[in-house]
Amino acid sequence: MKISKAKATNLRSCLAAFMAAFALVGCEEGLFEVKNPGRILDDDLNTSQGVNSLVTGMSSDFSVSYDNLAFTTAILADEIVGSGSYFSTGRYRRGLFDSDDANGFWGGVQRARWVAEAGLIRMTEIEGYQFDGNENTARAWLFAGLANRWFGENFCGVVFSTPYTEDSRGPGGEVDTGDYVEREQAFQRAVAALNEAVRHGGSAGRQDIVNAAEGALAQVNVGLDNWSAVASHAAKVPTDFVWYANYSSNSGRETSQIWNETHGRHEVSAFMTVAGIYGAGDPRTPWTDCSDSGAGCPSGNGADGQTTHYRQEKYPTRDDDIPLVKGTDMRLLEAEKALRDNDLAMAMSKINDVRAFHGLDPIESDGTIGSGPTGGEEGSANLTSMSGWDILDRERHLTLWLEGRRLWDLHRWNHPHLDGGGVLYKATVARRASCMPVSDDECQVNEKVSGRCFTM
Amino acid sequence: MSEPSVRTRCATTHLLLGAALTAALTVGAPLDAQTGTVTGTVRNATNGQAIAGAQVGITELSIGILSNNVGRYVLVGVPAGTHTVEVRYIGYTTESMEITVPEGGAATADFELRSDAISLEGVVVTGTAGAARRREIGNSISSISGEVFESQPIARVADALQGRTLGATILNNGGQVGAGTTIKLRGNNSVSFSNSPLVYVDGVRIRERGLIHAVEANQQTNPFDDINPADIERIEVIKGASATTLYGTEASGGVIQVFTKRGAAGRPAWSLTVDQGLNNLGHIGPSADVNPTGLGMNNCSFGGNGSFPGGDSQFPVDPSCPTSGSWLKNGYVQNYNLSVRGGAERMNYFVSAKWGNEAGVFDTGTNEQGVSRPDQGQESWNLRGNFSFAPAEGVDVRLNNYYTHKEVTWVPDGNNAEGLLLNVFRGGNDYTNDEDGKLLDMDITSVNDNFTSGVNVIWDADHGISHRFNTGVSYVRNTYFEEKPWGYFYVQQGERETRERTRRTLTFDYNGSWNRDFFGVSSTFSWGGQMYNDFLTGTTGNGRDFAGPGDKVLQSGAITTASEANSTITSGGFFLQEMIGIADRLFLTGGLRIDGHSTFGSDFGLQPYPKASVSYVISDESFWPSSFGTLKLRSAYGASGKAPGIFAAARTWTSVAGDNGRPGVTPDNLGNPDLGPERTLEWEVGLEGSTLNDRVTFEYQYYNQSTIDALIAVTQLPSAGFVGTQLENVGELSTTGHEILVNANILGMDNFSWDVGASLSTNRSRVLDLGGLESINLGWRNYVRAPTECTTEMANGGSFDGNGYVGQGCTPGEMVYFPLPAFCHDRVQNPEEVGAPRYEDQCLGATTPTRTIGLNTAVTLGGRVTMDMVWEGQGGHWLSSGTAYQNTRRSVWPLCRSTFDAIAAGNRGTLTARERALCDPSVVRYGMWTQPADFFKLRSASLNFRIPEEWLPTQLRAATLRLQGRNLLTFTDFEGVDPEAFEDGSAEVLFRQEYYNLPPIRSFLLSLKVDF
Repeated sequence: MKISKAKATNLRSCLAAFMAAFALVGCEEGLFEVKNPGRILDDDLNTSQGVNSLVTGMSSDFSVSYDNLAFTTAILADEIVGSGSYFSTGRYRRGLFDSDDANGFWGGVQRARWVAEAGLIRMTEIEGYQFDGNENTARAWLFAGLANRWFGENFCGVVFSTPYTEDSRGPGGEVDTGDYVEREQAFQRAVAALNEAVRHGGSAGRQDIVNAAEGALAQVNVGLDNWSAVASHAAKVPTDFVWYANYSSNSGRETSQIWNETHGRHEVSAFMTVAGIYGAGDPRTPWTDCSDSGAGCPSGNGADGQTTHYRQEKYPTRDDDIPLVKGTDMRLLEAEKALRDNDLAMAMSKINDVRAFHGLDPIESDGTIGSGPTGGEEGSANLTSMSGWDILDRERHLTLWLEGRRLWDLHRWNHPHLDGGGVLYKATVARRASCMPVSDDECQVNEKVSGRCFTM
Repeated sequence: MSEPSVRTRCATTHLLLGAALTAALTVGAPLDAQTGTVTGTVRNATNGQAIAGAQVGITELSIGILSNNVGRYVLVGVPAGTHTVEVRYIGYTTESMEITVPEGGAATADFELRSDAISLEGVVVTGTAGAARRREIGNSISSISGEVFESQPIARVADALQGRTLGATILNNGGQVGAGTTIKLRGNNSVSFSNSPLVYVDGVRIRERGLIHAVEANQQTNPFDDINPADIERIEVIKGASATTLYGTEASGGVIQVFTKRGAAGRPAWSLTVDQGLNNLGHIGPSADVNPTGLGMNNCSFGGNGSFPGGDSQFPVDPSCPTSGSWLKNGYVQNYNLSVRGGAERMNYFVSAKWGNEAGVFDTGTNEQGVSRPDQGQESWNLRGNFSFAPAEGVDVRLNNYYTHKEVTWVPDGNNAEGLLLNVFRGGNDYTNDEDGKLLDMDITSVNDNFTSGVNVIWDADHGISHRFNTGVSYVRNTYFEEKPWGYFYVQQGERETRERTRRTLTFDYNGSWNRDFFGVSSTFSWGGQMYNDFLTGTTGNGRDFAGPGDKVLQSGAITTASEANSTITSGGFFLQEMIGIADRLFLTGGLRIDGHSTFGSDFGLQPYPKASVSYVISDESFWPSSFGTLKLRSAYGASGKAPGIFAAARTWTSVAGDNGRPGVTPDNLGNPDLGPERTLEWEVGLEGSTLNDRVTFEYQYYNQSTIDALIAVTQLPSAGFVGTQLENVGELSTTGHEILVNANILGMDNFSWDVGASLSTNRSRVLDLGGLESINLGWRNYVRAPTECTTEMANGGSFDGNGYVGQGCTPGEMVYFPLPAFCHDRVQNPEEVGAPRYEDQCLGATTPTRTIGLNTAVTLGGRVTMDMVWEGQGGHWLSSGTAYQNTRRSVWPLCRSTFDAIAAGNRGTLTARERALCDPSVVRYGMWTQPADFFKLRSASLNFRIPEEWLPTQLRAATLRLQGRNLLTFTDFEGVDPEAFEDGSAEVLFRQEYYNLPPIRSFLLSLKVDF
């Protein structure tokens, strides 16, 4: 069979037409439309129906990073011993923490802060959304305040680049410049946000939000060294009140990291810690000795193969929430204020209120207040001293165990543990890291803070 | 670009084929008294295998035909007299023979063709806008002939590239059967995206990397390895943007095109191949470790007797040790391959089927109930049907189809708390209380189904115009299952996860060309376009906390979770190209491709990629002494790209859950409407030719790549809240290198032939700019670092063990450039001092090989016995041994025994900083176990024996017996487990490290192939 010339010409014409069409279609926008369901375009969030998702997202972004903070600061502080195989675990237990280590934590707290603060600005502009007195508004302000508390308590200095501008100032008149500022500014920012949370929470009839905001106000005023404000806000929070960061087995993102690192893996252990020694049998610091063959652990040791695994049981499931604000913390802050006011009796009364709440017998001091925590062996909490400050040191340690608060206590108390102390494994630096520096990521793209980063 | 028709622009060949049909039509006609016939066979000179489809003809008479499916041919109607018969076949030398045809009689001319990857007359099609002779091409192109697959131990297609392909770095990664390789061509030219080449099979693009990472095994299968090696006719490899311009966006990593076998006229010709063999590992652990226990892997029954350095406390008796006393064994390998090819003059076929079962080297022992656990290994099916027909003169239609089913059973491995090597190597300091068999109760399985179907239509029309249209679909479905049964030691209530990914890729490809000659100048104008549509869908489900034992599905778990992903991306472009040929020796080519892509930003538009090349066959000039042989000088310039990721251009949020399962949103991507592809520009200059009567062939090129607008995941200002990174076209990267190849026929006698070949490829990939970023941490101490000014500390730092580091000896103030990527970590600065080590962070060098050496030799005796060996060396790079570091932290590393003993004896204070930095568990650093990873391996050795035909039953045409081995010897100074081991066999990532994964294994195979 031979194709005639005429037919060949026709075929060539068809092919030429095909090519032309091909080229033209290549220029047509629809052809190259990318399809990737599951993503949400930014403008699509500007609806009143979307506010619930925005605020739930704030909660989620807070929780997803806070458990990592609690896990890591527990190793940096004296709460738990790093007994795992992670390279970073080996650094943290020696007291090392530099700007490269800080990347994830800095990013996590900045996201938690920003989604709440920028989300609130978005919420004011959403048509049809009743901003004032709305419980979503109150929750959003609470997350903004708690994120700034977390920022101030754990970072040596802070940086804010958005969302507040001269034209759109924050609730405390804040304007974000991207400069490095003292951590107190995070606390001040938190105060303004938490006051808004109290106001909107009250209007919305959400007493739990009000309590949480009041408790957080007490906590951030510690950072501002305003102890009268600490006391006045703490007094508004009942001893049995707790506000949590939420975790769930619903999805991997919601799963508790502390559970995963202690039950799913064996990366940290309570072995030879205050909780492991002094806190044995204390309901505030439950743990299981995995070296006991009947304990049901997959292995008796940590992932480093040599540290006995005392598995924490404070968070025995993936779903266990981490307390962020709780009444027992308030009572201990009141006790600390009493010590600062040289009122040992009041301090012991508040401490024993907490112990009673947990079903523990009261304890008595030796009649001395002391000038601050003295630290015991390896610099951790003194396990035998009965001075007011050492008792408070131990009680806060045990009451707030694995809640991401201990490193802040060590820092503000200039605790002896920071002077090269170690839990089971010795520090390799004379002064342990007591707060997190500005992250490398920030330094790389923010010229205003480029000199604030360091490696060690 | 599809395979060419057997016609080429070469007028000679054109006439050959034009006459072929005529000749065929005359078969059976009475012979003219003034004419005769020419008959004969065409065989491979190396292994004696028949070559089907070779072009046999007498040019001056315009008579020609193709050899049939058993290599035979008959030329009829040949005028009596003396003529020259010529035989051509892609990838082989062109041979000719003078014969005298008697009137009414027959002359015989048998041919033996030698494999010739760089003959100037060879025809290639990849990257050339249709078929082109090598003499016309300005860039380098590598070809691997089917002979390699016939005679050498090729278990995976990538094996054929090792040691044979200039510019290719093939890393084996893991030793578990089924683990995929990593393929890189000319180093790294992208920070953010895969550096793997595109892969085409018979013109249809297939998935070049695995779809699902086998999480618990830390390895990944590769669809490229699913192609049956026995089906392959040849492979073409083009490297660098100067060669891949016509493939446009996504092609800067190079292109590999596989051509599979075709049918040929004749009665059905069958081939059956049976392989029987074994996989084996031998001693595992650091090469300097002479202890036969291999850290408990070679021998797990010695615990308690102190035979292993480390004593009783480190290695208690493992009650779960297999009865063989070892976690390793010889794995049985069996493959059965059956193919048939045949057809008539206008229609032919090639059909094949293969079944294989290959066991790995783990002895998985028995579970608590005494039931044998399944072997690590794979079972696979391959089916292929290639059909060609010629519906009209000059029109050739080809249908190519293949289907593969592969099931891989894995053992938990690598950086995994439940990994076998990790727990065995650590002795008592592990996760299992040294009862490591419990780990093997976990089931891990990957199932791959690949189906590819394509149509090639080739129409050589009148007036020098030809058209090639090619379309096809590649459908890949990967499923991954892992199940920790109820009662599993680590997850007591059990857990099951399934992942399924389906990828469908559509390829549309058209190109046309118009050849003209005028005044001694030839012109080939080409035009065409491609469109590629990629649809991916996948789901992941997890169910955990079972109520009891038994077979499970996801919903057996009390808690279930699920996720889904799907995406569609389309890319397309068109090109124009003009090639001018002067006196058939000087060729000038210019072209332009213009692309659109789904992932470009809305403000970006289309992307142009230009190309230009020159090729000059200087040896065709009259002044060139013919005794010098042939020589072609060439140079090429071109651009190609790499597209951004899905939705990288748009500002997006993603759905998350919070507050115990309620819907929420979180920031996902900041968006960049100006986002475009990264562009790699390359120029290359080289030469190729032959001398000493073609007994020595050679090739050399230097290339220089520059990736501009490199896509860098730029960290967004964290304090601005949109945490994460955004792709921006801000980077600049550079890769330069040399490639040289020499093949020589040392002895070429009738009954003895000895060939040797050597190749060297280098690549130097560096970072020139990261758009303001100083460093990108890829993980595991692999960094992409921007250039920095040399400091005094950098210039004068201590080089541990004299291995150097980046910037050593630099002049303060000058810029120091870092490899892409580089290992950077602490190295001891005071090694000889007694006391604590003082560390300095240093970038040690590249993480992927920067030079590859290939050596091969083949000896043929009497045309029946062939012995060959392929050696390959890779080097110039560094590798971290996570195994050495982590075991040292646990005082279980043979190379540190004396230091451990000193510390145990309380003599830490007497140790030098060097001893402590390497072996003191309290201060050891990863950087100290990061070492040069140069290695030299005997990749393959084989002995082929073609059984004399007279020994065979009459029903058999031929039979060949082969003994083959792979990865037989390793030479290295690397002190970790293996310099090639990588605990994550995914080609998606740039970083590398060795971390408790099974190293590449060796294999032995005895094969019998019979043709009937």
